Amino acid sequence: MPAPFDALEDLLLRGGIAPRHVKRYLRELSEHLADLTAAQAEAGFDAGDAAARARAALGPDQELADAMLKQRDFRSISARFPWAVFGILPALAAIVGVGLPVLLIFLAAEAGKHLFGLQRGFVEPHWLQLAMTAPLEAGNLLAMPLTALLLTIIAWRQRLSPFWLLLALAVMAPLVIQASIEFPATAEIARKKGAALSLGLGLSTSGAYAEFKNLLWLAAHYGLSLLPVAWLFWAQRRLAKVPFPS
Amino acid sequence: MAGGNSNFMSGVPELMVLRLLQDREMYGYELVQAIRRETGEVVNLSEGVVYPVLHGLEKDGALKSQRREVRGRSRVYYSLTAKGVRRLFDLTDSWTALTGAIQTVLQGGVHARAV
Repeated sequence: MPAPFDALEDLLLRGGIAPRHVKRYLRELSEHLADLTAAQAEAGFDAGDAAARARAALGPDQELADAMLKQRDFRSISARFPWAVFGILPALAAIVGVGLPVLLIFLAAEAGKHLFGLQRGFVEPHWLQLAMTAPLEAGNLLAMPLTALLLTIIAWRQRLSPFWLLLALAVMAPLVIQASIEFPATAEIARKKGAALSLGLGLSTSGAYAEFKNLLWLAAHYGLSLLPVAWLFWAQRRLAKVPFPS
Repeated sequence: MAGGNSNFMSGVPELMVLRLLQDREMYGYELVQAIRRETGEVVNLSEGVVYPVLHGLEKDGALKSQRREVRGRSRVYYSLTAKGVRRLFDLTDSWTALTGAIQTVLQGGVHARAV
């Protein structure tokens, strides 16, 4: 983005104009500025004067911003409905992020049963069990951090307050949705009970070292989720300190 | 009525843009120079403010745009759509009625003429 419009870009994004409309506006302004500068140079002004006169003819930043801010249709969804994007979307994303692998595994198991005659719940060799468990564990661990990352990108692009992200984390944090799959040890047990595929709120407490594992998992989960939020706080403070060209 | 007129007055750049694009397609810089030339520099906008007007009209379906390379420069050309032509006629009617009414008042009003 050309330097002459950094301050204008910031005004527009903070005013709620969607990034794609800001990008288009600034591109056309840049092209217009190039035409104006060329015209001033043709009129006999030296390069410095031509650039300054062209920029003045284009209009002051505030006037250029106001003209765009009047167009209410160009506001982004996150600027119009931040409470929905940062209050409702995170909960849905957390559910989908964990629920989707569960659904895929269920569909794969059903397909295996019908297409290949595989016995319900009995999966051999052992590495195949691990391969089926991996997407669930990845979903458990990454659903919330990836949602936080996505929302950070949205908030950064729109110059929204990082406090909206804290709201999103506050919504997601208590959910801690976990999916798990338990395979029967033998074909005999599998025939009677099948495998257990579950999706629920709260931490799993089954298995050895469960408490310790849960603590580690929680630390990784929340740590990864807070990283992008911390970055946004840092980046916005840094942006506020950079003086804009007048 | 006052609110309606106020909105209409803020639509003057829109009216000029639609009228000028009725003759031929233009890009933003060309359009601003045409406004300046055609109005004898009476209407002298900050040049950049024409783009939100163009983008708004395009979003409403009154204009369409096309980016093209011309002599090594990339430019966005705007042209009028059928909806834009209808909008131009509506705005022209409103503007004609308003300027006629103002002219009447400036000349002393309906009563003055009657006397």
